[in-house]
Amino acid sequence: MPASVPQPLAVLTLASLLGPPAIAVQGNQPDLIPQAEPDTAPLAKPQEEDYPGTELPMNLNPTPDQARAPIGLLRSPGMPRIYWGQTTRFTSAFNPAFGIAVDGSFNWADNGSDEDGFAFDLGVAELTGQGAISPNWWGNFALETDSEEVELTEAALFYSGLADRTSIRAGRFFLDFGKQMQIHVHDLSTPQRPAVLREYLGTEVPGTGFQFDHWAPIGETTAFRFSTAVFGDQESHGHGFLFDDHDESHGPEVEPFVDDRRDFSELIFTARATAMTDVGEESMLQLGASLRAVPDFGFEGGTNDTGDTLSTDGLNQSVYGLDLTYGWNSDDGTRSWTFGGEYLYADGDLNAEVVGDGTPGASLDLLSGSAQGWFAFAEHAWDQQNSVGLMVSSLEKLEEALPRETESTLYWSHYPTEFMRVRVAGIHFDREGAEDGQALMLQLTGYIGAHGHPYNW
Amino acid sequence: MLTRRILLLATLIGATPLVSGASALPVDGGDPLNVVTTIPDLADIVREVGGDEVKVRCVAKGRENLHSVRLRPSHLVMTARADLFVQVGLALEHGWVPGLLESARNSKIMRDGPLNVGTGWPKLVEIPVTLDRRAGVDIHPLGNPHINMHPDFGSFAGRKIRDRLKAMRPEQAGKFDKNLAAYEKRIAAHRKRWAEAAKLLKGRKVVQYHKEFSYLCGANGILMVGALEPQPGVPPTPGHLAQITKGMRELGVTVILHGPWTPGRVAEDAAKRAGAKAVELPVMTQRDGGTWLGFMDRLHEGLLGAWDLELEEREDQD
Repeated sequence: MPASVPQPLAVLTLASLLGPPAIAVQGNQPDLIPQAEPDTAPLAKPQEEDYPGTELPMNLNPTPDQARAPIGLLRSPGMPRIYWGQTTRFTSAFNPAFGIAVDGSFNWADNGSDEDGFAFDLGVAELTGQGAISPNWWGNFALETDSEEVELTEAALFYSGLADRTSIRAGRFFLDFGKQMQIHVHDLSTPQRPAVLREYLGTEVPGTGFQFDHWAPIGETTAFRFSTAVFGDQESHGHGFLFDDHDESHGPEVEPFVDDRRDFSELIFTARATAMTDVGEESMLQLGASLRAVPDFGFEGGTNDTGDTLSTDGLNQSVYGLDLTYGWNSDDGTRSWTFGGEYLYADGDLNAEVVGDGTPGASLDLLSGSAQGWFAFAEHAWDQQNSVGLMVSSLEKLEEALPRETESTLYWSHYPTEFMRVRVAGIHFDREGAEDGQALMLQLTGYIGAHGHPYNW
Repeated sequence: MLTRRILLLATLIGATPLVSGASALPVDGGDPLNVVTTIPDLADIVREVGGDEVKVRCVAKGRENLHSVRLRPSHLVMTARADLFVQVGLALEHGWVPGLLESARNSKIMRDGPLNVGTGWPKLVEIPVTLDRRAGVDIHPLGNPHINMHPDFGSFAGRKIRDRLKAMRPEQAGKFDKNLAAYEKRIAAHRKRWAEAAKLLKGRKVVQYHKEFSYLCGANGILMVGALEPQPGVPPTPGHLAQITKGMRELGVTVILHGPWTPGRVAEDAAKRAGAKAVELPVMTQRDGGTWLGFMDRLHEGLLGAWDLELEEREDQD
């Protein structure tokens, strides 16, 4: 380094020139100091000097004091195997990444009934954790609450040691169906899950089971992936949906259920196959097909005159989906267009309604047959902070006579930083045989710490 | 029902090796090593050092924000087939490389790890004292990672790459040494011009949009007075812009540097208010046909042009 450059003098001179306003601009950051001196001489140092090694300014080698653990002092025969050494002696450098996500909205809704007005909704507050267990194993969990109940929506272990591009997950995780169902509502690019997905699959559908996942390259520019999974149960929950209660006129809520233990052939089965390919240098196209089969389930809800819950079982249902997504990004990565959509076809025992609730003749009226619906969206980001989108979903509602419902959502998303989102949305729904509904929402979402879910393309 | 489901499952699983087999590319000693790099700078240096022993592909095109490059299916495919993955490291690409590597699930890369050429970089600047989101969005725990704009980068990265290639192809060690020596000789020739530029640039003052030119400015003795981003990764606010343009006038700062991915309009508006000019500089080599030496030449020419300075005429060196 040349000795003739007077760094302190430069600082003093600049500081005196700068005065209070500019100091306020920079605070106490060392920007007024040149980061390095003119240094354009060829490298002449010996290699060892250039390569001080791979040391990082982190202490991954704790001293004995730091490694002292409060538990697991000495394992004697018969004690839990976990106390065999390292598990109790690592420092916090090996802790998983934890994060908190908070998603809420201030909204006004007129849901087509007598009820309308303003509300503050905590969509979800979520605690997540994720980390590696070993080179081939990692795990994650997600706990969510909408201030009324706490749900464990994810708790899964992932294994990737089988072969290249193959992985297995076991535990509780979201359904791999279409482009959207893996994704938590608070992470969607749209304010809500499209109506057709909510109606035919559920707003969020975590299940407990086992999934096999593999992808393979085809040529130079195409990737193909498929997954198959079996689940012992799948639950649908719907926090954050503005129109949850708009159809209470149809009677008591009827919920699907599955037995705790069933034959293997009666477990819930899902499969998805998808391929994505480059379209030129700036675009890509993705096609996908998905299936969920529920071979043995029942509905329950309402009561008879003696107070017993009504139920029916031995039912089955399948939902098929086809999805298509096109994305374009400018060469600097700041602008984008995304177009996408999905078509769903549901077949089997689709829903049930309570007839004569609380009376001696109370029963569940089963809706069987087929129904279909779709959603499509277009979204444009004109810089890194802003995007607008329009999503339309149209479906045959799973009610008697399958009334047609269409929901349209126009939204603007603003990201002050990548850890925060402000969204303004207007939603309109139009349903045969009912009054139209509409809503306006101002949504705020913030991510504290690491935020991640095991979404796969 | 059970039979049908098992058949479906078996069909899907059975299809796996068929599809996978079509893409398997075993690399023997005679084939070039498949190398994937994050940025074109590294692709160029790998080609210089590896010569015909490597086949190099690159992810970034050259105009993106290095912290958030958009990935396409071909990037996944090329990474899955790579023998070596090279990145700068120092958390420069941490927003997109981990996801790419985890999705590609290339056992060679997972086993050996990517080559992080930035490890051991001896001249790190802007190392944060504390790690806190209040200090910004683009927080790099190890320091400012934009080392590809420092004149030492070519040689430093070249040596790291040579060492890894020698470990992978020991029988070609001599060739890699020779290639690197020839490349460093050319770098030295360019550095003479860069040193001349540095003499003219030393002591001048700039404001950056994002702190990505710190090594370039530091190496040329240019004083970095501030940044339009109030904190790294946080878009400029009206209040901050008002303060910094006022400070620029007081200090006589006449140049705002910004990259291709940053909003040029914001930089130009700020420059207008401060009586300065906004100068767009590349932040990495251009992928198609660009070289790191050419990129560094462009940067120095861009800096000289910002103050209407010129070097004496010279013969082409490259």
